[in-house]
Order: sequence, then C-alpha cells, then structure tokens
Amino acid sequence: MNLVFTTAVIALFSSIVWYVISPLFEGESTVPLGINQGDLDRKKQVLLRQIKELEMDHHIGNISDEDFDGSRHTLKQEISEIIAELKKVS
Amino acid sequence: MTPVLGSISLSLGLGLAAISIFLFSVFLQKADYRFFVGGWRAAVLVSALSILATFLLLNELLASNFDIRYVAHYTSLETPTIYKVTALWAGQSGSLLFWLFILSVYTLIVLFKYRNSYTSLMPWVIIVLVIVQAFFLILVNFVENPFSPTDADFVVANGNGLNPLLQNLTMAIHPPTLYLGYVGFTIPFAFAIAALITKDTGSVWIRSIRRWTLIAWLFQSAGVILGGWWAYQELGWGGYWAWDPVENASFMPWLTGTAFLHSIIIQEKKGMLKTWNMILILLTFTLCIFGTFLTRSGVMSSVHSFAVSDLGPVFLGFIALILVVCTVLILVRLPILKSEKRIESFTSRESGFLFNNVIFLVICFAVFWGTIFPVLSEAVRGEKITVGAPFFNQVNVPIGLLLLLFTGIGPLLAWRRTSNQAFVRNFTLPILTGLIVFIACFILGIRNTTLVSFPLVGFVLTAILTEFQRGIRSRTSRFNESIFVALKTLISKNRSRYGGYIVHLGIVFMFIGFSGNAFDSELEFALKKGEVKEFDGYNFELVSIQTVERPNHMAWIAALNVWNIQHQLVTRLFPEKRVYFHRDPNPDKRQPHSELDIHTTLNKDIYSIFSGIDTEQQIAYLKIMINPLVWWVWFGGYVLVFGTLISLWPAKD
Amino acid sequence: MNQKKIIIAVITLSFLAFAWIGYVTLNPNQDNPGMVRFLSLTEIHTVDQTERIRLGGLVSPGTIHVSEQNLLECNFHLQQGDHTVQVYFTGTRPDLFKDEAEVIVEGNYVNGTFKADQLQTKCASRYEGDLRDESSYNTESI
Repeated sequence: MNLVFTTAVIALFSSIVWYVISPLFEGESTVPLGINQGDLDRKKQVLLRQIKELEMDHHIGNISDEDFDGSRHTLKQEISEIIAELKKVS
Repeated sequence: MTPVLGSISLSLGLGLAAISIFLFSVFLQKADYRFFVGGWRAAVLVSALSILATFLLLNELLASNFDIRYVAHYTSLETPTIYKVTALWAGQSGSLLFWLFILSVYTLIVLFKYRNSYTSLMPWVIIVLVIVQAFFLILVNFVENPFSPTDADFVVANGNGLNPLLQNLTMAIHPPTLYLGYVGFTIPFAFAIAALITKDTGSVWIRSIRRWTLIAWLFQSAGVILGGWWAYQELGWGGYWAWDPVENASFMPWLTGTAFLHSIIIQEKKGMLKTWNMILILLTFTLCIFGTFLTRSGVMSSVHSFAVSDLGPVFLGFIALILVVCTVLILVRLPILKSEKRIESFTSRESGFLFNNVIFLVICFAVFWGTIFPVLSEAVRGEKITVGAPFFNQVNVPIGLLLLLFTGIGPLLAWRRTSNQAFVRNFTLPILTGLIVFIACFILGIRNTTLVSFPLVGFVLTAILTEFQRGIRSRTSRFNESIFVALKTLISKNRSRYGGYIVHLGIVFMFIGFSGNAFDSELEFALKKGEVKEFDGYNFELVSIQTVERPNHMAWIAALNVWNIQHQLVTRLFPEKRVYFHRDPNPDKRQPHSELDIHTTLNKDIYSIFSGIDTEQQIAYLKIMINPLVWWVWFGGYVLVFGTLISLWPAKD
Repeated sequence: MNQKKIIIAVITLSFLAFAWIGYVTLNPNQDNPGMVRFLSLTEIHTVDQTERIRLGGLVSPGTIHVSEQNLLECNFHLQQGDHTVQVYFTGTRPDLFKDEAEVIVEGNYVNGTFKADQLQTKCASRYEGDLRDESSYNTESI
C-alpha cells in the first residue's frame, strides 16, 4: 500500500515538474503573432458596438447633435487605425 | 490515505503558486514567452490542486471518515447525504477551502479564456489571482487544515452531526451563492490592478470585466436576498433584515460593487471617473475579504474575541497589505487616471453617476460605521455599546430614499447636458405621477415615511417606463416595427442597458416591500380550543392542538382558522412547536423549535408563530404578525435576477 | 468653471452625509435607541432607570419561573460570574432559552430588578453545525 502510494505521489510530482519546466526547452521565446490579432479584433468589435449604441442614444435624444458627431468621428477614426494595424499583422 | 493526499495537494499548490509568480516575474523582465507559458501552467496547477483537495475533502465527508476532525465535527452517520455535501462549507477550515475552490474554478476559466489575449495585462492578472489563492493556501496549510486528524485518543465511531435546525434548503444554497459573489469580485479586482500596473486604461478590458462584475454581483445580490428570506422564514422574528454584523458584511461589498458596476459605464463611454473606479473595486474586494472573515467569527462583538481568534490577525494583515499596496499604486498612477473629459453640467448623466457613487459610498460608510462602532467604542472609551437596527434604519432610510430618487433621475438625463426641452419632455410625467401619489397618500391620512417613499416609487416607476417608451418609439419610427416587436428587439439588442432597467424595476418593487415595514403590527396572546381572538381586522380561531410524531422530532400543531370581518375564511394556518430529539434521555439534548406558518398575499403576510403550549390546560400561546407588502421584496428580487440574466445573456454578433 | 462647482457639490454632499451620520450617532431616538450600552452586572447600579441597557450572562439553573396566569410572562436569574440579577420578561421565549443558556436581555433596571422587553439567546450558530465556541458577544466574566 505504502509503496503504491509513494510511487503515485512521486509520479504526480514529476509530471508536475515536467509540465511546468518543459516550455523552457521546447517553447518559443517570442509572443505568437496571433495573440495580437485577437486583441485587435476584440477592440474593433467593441468600437463597432459603441458606435451602434451611440446611434441609438442619439436617436432617443440622450446626446446632442454636435456631441454625437464628435464622438462618432473619434470612434470611426479609432476603427480605421485598428483596421490598418490588422492589415499589418496578417 | 486520501487525507494525506489532500494535505499534499494543498502544500504543492502553495509551492506552485510561488513558482508561478516567480516565472511570470522573469517573463516580465525578459519578455521571454517561454516563461509566460511556464508561469501559466504553474497557475493552472495551483487551481487544479486546490480543486482536487476540495473533492478529496468532499469524498471524506461522504464516506464519513471520522478520523478527520472536520468530518467528525460536522457530520454523522445519520446526516442526510445532501447535508454531508453542505458540510463542506459548514466549518471554518472547510469554508476557507471552499473559498479557494471557487476562486480556483474562476481562475481556471480566466486562464483558459484569456490564454491568447491581453498579453500585457494577463501576467499581472494571473499574479494577483495566484497571490490571493496563496493567501488561502497559507491559511489551510498552516492555520486551519481541513484534513487534520481527529484529536481524540479513542476511535470516533460517529460524528457530531449537523444541527437539524440548520438542515434546510436555504442553508444549503445561501452560503455558496454568497461565496460565488464574494470570490467573483476577485477577477475584476485582478484586472483593475493589472491595468493600473501596466498603465492600460483602455476601454476594451473594461467591457470584459463588466461581465465578470455582473456575474459576481448577481450572486452577491441573490445571496443577500436569500439571507433575508431565510431569516424571515426560519428565524421567526418577523423580519428579514436586522442589520447585524454578518448581514452588514455581505451588504457592504454589494453597495460598493453596485457603484462600481454603474461607474465603469462612464469610464467605458467617456473615459471619466477612472480614479473612482479603482477606489471602488479596491474597496469592494477588500470588503469581500473582510466580509468573509467577519462571517466566520464573531469578531465585531468585541476586541477581546478578535484577538483570541486565530484568523483575525492574518486576515487583518492581508487586508492591510491590499489596502497599502493598492493605495500606493493608485497614487502613483494618478496622472494617467485623469479624466479624459470634464463634467459640464449638473444636469448631465455623468454628474448623475458621480452623485450615485457618492451616495453608495455614504451608505456603505454608514453601515461600516455602525458595524465597527462597538469595537471602536470599547477600544477607545472602554465602554461596550451595541448598535442595533434602529440606528441603521434611522440613518439609512433617508439616504436610501435619496438613492431611489436618483435611480429614477439618472436614466432620464442626457449626456453632457440636459436641455430644458429634454428636461420637460422626460421629467413631466414622472414628477406628475409622484405628485398624484403624494396627494393620494396624504388624503388617505398616511403620515409616516411612506408618504415620501410611495410618491418616489411612483416617480421612479414612471421614469423607468418612460425609458422603455423612448427606446420603443425610436425603433418604431426608425424601423417601422410594431410596439411589441420593437420592445423585444430593443431589449435583445441592448441587453446590458435594458436588462439594467429591469433590474431597477426590481429594486423599485423591493422598495415597495420595504415601505410595508411602516405598517407592521403584532400581537401575542393565548387561546384555548374553540376560542377566537380579534386582531387587525381578522379573527383568529384555535380549532385544535394536534400532536404528531416524526422521525427525528415531535410536533404540536396549532390549527388556526383566520376569518375576516365579513366572516369569510381567509386562510388556515398551522404553526408548529417542535421538539427535536424528544426521545433523548438527556433533557439538554432536546431542542425546541418553532416552525412558523405564513399566509402570503400581494398586500400582506399573516405570520403565525406557535410560541408556547400549556399542555395541562391545552392553551396555545401564539404570536401573530401582520407584515404588509413583504411579497414585493421577494418579487422584486426575482425581477432583479431576471434583469441581470438578460444583461448577461450573450449576444450573437 | 463647472468642474469646480461639481467638486464643491460633491464635497458638500459628503459633508452633509457624515454630519447626518454623526448626528444620529449622538442623538438616538429615546424610546428605541439604536445604540445601547452593554453593561456588566457590577455597573448596573450606576444606571438611571430610564436608560435602556443591555445585559449578558447565563441563566442560573433552576431559576426560570413561568407565570401560571400568563405563560408569556417569566422571570429568572441572570448570572455573570459571582453576580446575579433578577430579570422579568414578557414575550415569546426563544427556543434555546433554558438553564445555563447564554442570553442577552435589553430593557431597564428598575428598583433592583431588570425589566426586559427583549430576550435573545446566543444564535445556534449560522454556519457551525454544532456548539463551536465562537462567542457572538463578549461575556468575559463568565
């Protein structure tokens, strides 16, 4: 019983060590490109959603015309910047 | 053997937490992605081992292994299976492990969901989460290990078992629900700290943590309401909130959490109130830790019992550490937290949110003040004082009503500035409704706080309905939809906002329920069989006293007929006086318990308690309470949960 | 300019709020005060009979007497170390009220006896399954 148990614990311990240390031997040291693309994509989605909400708020009457125009312009600019960056990454 | 494995898991977990933090530190220094992966994997293991340890303890509980002190103390062979499971959080060490368990589940979700995102934020997010896990791991490893062996010098054949009075469903779901809330706030906290450190004040991560915050908030709200429900149903004093330290401990993070939830909307949209938000989430998380600790020990009663508890100094130390580190962090990053825009007018939505924050913080402070006052008073003046419900009610009712007012005003304000035209258009109907209700209440002779609360309810209800109407009209005019379709699409396309308005509706309903307290009445009296007692427009007739034997208790049941003044039978009530373990030869082991019966209608609850019995003369001593409008509190709770679920429902993009 | 006005408004509001809290702290409602002094049995002789106070202690064994005319009335001896005081209480007695139970009473000390209108027994602990020794109030002289 004790031998089985001890073996199991040692096995557990070793696999944990291997799992944590192995990237140091096999992994890439630079951040994968795909990650940045994911972040940019997410940002674009958020901005698009913000524009939609802005439009609704404007129509309901929660935002003045000039405020609406100003904010929409800023958001659209941000989106085009992101699209440009996305093109660079891909 | 499994207990040893459990202890080992917990120790390994703590070790790996340190390793994870180390590896991430190297990554941050050298930008070598391999160390990110290593640190990430170590963090996964910390959570996995914590979860493993929890299941191992659960296994021991179900197997009734009384060699473990925790199992022997909180279960017995007779304990029903479900309560062997709930014993997992019944005791101190178990509940600490349970906290760790929930945090580990949340952390695993965060680790995997954001595995390939937010590269700059994630190392710090994970470091913070792992540090919090490490704190609880330290507690369960060194202070109170749930796997400790039984300290008896004989073989324990059967455990103490769970008090049958605690064996009801609400006791089973209330603690985990509250924990899901408490622990849940750790995630937004971690993100906020990470953002502070990496100087990322962008709006993208805010949107993510809004969902997390909402989830934590949902459970916190549900937990608080469940606590009130349990108090009302089981404790038998006729109320649902006594402002006792444990209740307050769960309410305070809810207050700051709600403020945070609202305030980050402003940060997301306008880049304002950033410093406020950092302070609010810091306070919320700290109050969650404080609340967890407070619930586990009667610390607020006196300085004496505080010093004696093992956990006290450790928790307080952790809280102090959090506060100091985060305050320094906020102060250092103050420049980048500056608002991108300025508040331009009092009648702007931005200013509404700002005042909203202030009110929530004030209420939180009032509750905190009342809660720690006894300890302060004893420490400073040597005088022991207890602070009871009357204090809290006196302070909080006016401020609460102010909050209710703002709930109505806020959504009707425009961004930056509400024009006079818009003001008239939006506020006329709500103000008119408020006035009409006020006049009606006045004419009806009402002269208590409801003279203020009912008109406010009218105002806010109309304001919320106005919001829906404006949204619907915007759709019907733009897209030519019918009203019904417009409503459906409006909600489904703007779940966050309109779900939020439904939550507000729930809050208004709850305030209707709270207002009922002003009209509560009660009476205690004795009745013999066949006798009738008149009270508050009802006649209570004792039909019979029955005796019943059940598996672990016996009960006297007072069968009551309740008649109204038109001699119609309103309801039958069967309050019981039970004695648990009535066959136990030791009279001290016999536990009396009153099982109440409540007749609920929309406008009032008739609450009956069988307080005592004179078996010789067959006299039943009864306490009847008439509690108006209580139903609205629970109904409002359901609406609140429903609204939150709508807000959370994922939108197909 | 408006920014300054907003800041002033926030500070004023906060100040008013704290003033309100302080006011309520110092001026409790007389017949239902939120803040009640928790005294020990050695101190009750110094108290005015109109002041509501709280006492904590154990129920001396064998001293619970329930009135035969009205089962809701009872009296018992509250014990704290070597001191006892007689308590009169009318109302529903909590389930755990019995010999040697830890209780808290609230009311007035009049002419050598304590007239209580509130009686609480130590909560059978919300989360603890059993009689764990976590005091929910301080009765150190017990």
